[in-house]
Amino acid sequence: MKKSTVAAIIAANLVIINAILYIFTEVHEIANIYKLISNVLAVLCSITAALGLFVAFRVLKKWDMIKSSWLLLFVGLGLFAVAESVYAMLNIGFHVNSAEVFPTAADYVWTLGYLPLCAGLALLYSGYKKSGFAQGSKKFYLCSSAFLLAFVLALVYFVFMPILKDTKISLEAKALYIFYPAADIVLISNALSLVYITQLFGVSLVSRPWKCIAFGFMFITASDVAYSYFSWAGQYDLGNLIGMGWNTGYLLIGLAGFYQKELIESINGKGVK
Amino acid sequence: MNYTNPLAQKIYSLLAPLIGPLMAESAVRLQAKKAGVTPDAITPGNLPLIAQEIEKAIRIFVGSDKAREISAIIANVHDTANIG
Repeated sequence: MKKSTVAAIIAANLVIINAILYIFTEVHEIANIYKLISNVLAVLCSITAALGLFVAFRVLKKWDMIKSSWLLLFVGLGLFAVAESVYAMLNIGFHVNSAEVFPTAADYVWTLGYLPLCAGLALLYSGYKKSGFAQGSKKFYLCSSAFLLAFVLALVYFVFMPILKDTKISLEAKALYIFYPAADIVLISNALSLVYITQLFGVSLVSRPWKCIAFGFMFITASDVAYSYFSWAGQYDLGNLIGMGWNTGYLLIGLAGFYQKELIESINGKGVK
Repeated sequence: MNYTNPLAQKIYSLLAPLIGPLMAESAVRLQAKKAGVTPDAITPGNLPLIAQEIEKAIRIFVGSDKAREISAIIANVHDTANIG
């Protein structure tokens, strides 16, 4: 069995386990146990993502645009993994109630991670634009720009405005509540373009890693937006479905790295295996 | 996709699993056009230019090294294609 298939099975099982544990702990009202598991799973999944991206980075021999892109993605997800570990340590080791304390030290590490992630995705996308392959229809770009604009307007109205008007939270917390979804807009605009591009390729070796990256970031974005809103509204508590969204996103991104490795290894002097 | 020209067929067969049948067909057509021919009129003399253009295109997916390997295979595809 191919390593990427094993990685995909493990990733799918982790998501299923995550869902079963969530339902089980909710039904038996032992949410505290799920909180603990949720912390550990988030660390595991983010480390898997960073590891997958590192594998993809290492398999590329020559320094070029694509190697730089994978390095940037690895650094970004590596910082996310550090942030998840700090967050888990604060929750488990220091009993910091993350539902009440915001921002924590972990939030600053997450913030830092967005920069290489956005740069990595933008580099991949701009590299594709220069490749000469089909760019797709203008209609798609018009529709997705309209969708993105609608998403931004909804975000400003339903999330940013209430947060900015809130006098009970600090300026620092306000900035971070807004930063996450704002950075996600940059991520998702690149991710959406990648999703579109990869569907132009149909079933192929090159499209698999990009598809996983794109859908991974879409899961992370959706979870970030939900987190910002529910956290500000005081309805967020550790160990919920939002966490599952992050974990799924991490695992998909990690899988992308393994698919990229498989793609590179499939090419030899004689052709494509 | 079936080409009457074995060179075009070889290039297509090499690219199809990598970039998908649709993109492979479009790449063969586009790069042949750049060389001033149709896919069915590709000759060994057109191969270096086609190989170079395909190398540039796939670099973003597989990196410079592997793109060069693919390019080298395409440039020498007349050695393995059953011509005439």
